[in-house]
Amino acid sequence: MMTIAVASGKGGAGKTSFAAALAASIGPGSIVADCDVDAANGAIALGGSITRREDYFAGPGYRIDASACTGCGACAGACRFEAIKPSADGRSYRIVPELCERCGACVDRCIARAIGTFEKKAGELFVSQTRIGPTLVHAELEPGEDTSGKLVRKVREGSTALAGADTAIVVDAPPGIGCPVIASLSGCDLVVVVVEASVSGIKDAERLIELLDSMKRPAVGVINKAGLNAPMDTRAKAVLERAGLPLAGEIPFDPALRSVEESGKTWKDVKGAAGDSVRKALASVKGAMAGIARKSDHGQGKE
Amino acid sequence: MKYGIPTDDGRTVSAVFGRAKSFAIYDEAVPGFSIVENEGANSEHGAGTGAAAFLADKGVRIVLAPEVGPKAAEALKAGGIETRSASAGLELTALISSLGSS
Repeated sequence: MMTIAVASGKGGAGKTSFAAALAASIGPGSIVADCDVDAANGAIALGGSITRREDYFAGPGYRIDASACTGCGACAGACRFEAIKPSADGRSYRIVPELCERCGACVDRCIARAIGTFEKKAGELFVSQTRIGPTLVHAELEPGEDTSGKLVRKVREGSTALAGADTAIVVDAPPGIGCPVIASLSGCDLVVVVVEASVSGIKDAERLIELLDSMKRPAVGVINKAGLNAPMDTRAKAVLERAGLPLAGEIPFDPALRSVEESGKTWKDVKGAAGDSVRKALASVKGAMAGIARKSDHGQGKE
Repeated sequence: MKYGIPTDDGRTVSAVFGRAKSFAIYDEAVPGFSIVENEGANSEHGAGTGAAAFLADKGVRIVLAPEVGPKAAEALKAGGIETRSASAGLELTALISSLGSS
């Protein structure tokens, strides 16, 4: 089993598109773990239809029992998140679920013991079949909910559970460098850093590379949206070189890349020069995967 | 000297630290090792820093893990706990017997 994460730092750099193309190029036996649980697009990129779903519970939600509530308002006074409001009839109070941070301060203050817990659904986990071929494991967090790191861990566990000894799992990481990204990258054999050739793309990639350094993950770089600004392309290459990341490929900005996705395929099927660079980058990444497989102790050497 | 190693199955080293299902605690003075459940594995926040605190409470001075997230690394350092690299999937018994030579 081998896990390859596709990350970028910056949003919109091309992670999901590249991850979909990589999984498509590996074949229908591969698994994509879409770890962008706040704004998951893997199902769109791969043409997914849900075959399994499961509710995700992050932790207890708090609820006021209106019949036990004396209307004293001590809970609302304790709440630092302005999540407790008077009820419509003014006789009791109610907790607004989207604002509640589950700190429990209200429970401590309630003399009537009117506040209890309930299993609050914080999101959903899915497994989908995809038109492109790979199995997709994904999730969605309810708006306003946190614990994205924990939900990403569940997506990762879900994909490992479906994987066989020879399966490749492509992890589509979320943007940023926070907990959900760390949970997406942990335990991966290889990270593909997609660098958008722009000022913010390069800056955010640098922050990601710093994180990868502290996590000691082997990584390669793919520059995306190249060809719009030569000095930017040069700067992107320099950043990767300075960090010691081999350049797996350089993908030009080309409307053909978007049209191929709109027609329900992945970047690997694009015709012309842009498609050639994508296929070259994919071959390079697969070469890096083979190199890691050869080095591993678990006898996974596959040519 | 007490060592802490993350493990999901109780037999091999886990690829993750903060949300590993349990930790193997090996005390040089005692033969064998014990497995303690990582109560923080399911926590909503701070699983990594919680695990660091958990191990510090148990008197662990060295953590052996493939990787540790940035905040957990800070917490371990603050607790005076050293982190050493250990490959994911390695058999715990093999890893622990290799420690005798340190």
